[in-house]
Amino acid sequence: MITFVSFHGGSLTSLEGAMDRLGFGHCRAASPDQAAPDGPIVLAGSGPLDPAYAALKASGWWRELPQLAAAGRPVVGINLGLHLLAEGSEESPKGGGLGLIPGLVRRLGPGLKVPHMGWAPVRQLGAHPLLPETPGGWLFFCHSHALEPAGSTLLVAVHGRPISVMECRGRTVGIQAQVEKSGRFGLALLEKTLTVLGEEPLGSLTPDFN
Amino acid sequence: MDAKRIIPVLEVCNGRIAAAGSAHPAEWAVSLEREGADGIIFRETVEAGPGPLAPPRAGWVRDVAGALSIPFALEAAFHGLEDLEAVLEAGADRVLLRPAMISAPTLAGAARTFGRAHLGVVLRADLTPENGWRMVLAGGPGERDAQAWMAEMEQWGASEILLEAGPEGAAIGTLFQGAARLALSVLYQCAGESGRVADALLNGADGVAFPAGTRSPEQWKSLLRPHGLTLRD
Repeated sequence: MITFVSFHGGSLTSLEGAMDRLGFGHCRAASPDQAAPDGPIVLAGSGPLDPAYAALKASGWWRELPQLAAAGRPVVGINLGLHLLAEGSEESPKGGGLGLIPGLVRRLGPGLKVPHMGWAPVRQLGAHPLLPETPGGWLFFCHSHALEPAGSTLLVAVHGRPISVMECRGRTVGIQAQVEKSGRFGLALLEKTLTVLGEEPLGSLTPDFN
Repeated sequence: MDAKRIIPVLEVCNGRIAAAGSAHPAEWAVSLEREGADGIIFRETVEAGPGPLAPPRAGWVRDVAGALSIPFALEAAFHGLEDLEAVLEAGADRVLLRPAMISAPTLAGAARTFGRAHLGVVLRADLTPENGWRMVLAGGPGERDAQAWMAEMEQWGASEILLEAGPEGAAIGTLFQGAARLALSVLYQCAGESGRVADALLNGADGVAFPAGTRSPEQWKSLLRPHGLTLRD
């Protein structure tokens, strides 16, 4: 069962819909005691960083996430979630990140469209079990900050300079793109990541709107 | 380089798409995604078809967010931060605000609360013989320079402009060249004609928003590929 950390940092509706279509069970947890007993912990969101830091500290997630990761529990950060997992961000110079992904998140630009909002082609830096078999594809981005590519980077894109799109360190994964908004390629990436992290689909749900 | 975005616009009235036999917005949106749309703009209207905007309803927005795997925005009659919060919490990626809904404190406050990436504005600009591109408010071009207004929106906290350009036949290159110098994403809102779309995109527009049902997204991409534009497969 996938646990979505609920911290009022953007809507989870699209991700939850994607999980339903891919067939993964999921729940929301405002605090660690509401988390599923096993399965990936997903930290996803958008918007300003400081309120997200504060919400995670107030709910106990800030203390719990590094312990869960150290115990081998998969942790996945998407968009703002990746920034929370990193060592820190230029968006909040006084606050340090969780440090589960190496590197400092830097502001995009100068001289560029910020936020970076659009579909960009991504490129694999090498074969990795988390990646789909296709060598690359288009992903949708909506962000003002990004990690620079480093040794833990699996996918890169370019917005003025190379930016990290996907990071992996042990069983902790960070994804900069909004994979749930990135069409078939995004869903394939999400499915592969969760499957390799040990999650098994239960059977997809098709919504009925009428 | 990012792909130029091809974005159909759907009018929603009472939670249904009147132009599609009263279909649910999510059903119609999913079919547009399959046809190659890079995003969708919904416009919540009081009556079926184009007309005055209606207040937003979060119920159908939540259904769309759960069903769609591409981004979408909503243009509606927003009154205050609570309206914006309801729609963004339901899963819309962006809200689109018309000039009458915008003030410096509201836009800046919304940017601080939700992040500027969730905030877009809508502008119609008309080319006037004496004064260049002017912002259109009620009835015709006014005093306000369109370029200056867009720069102000960027400063206040918007991240995207949905930009309509008139009158019919005016050369739009200069308008989009100016807009493209801003850090904002700029979408050209066209009425369905193809002639000026390539012009707008070649002069810096990041995408085109067109009425759904005129051409499919894939047909638009076929028309635009020969111009050498980067488009998502």
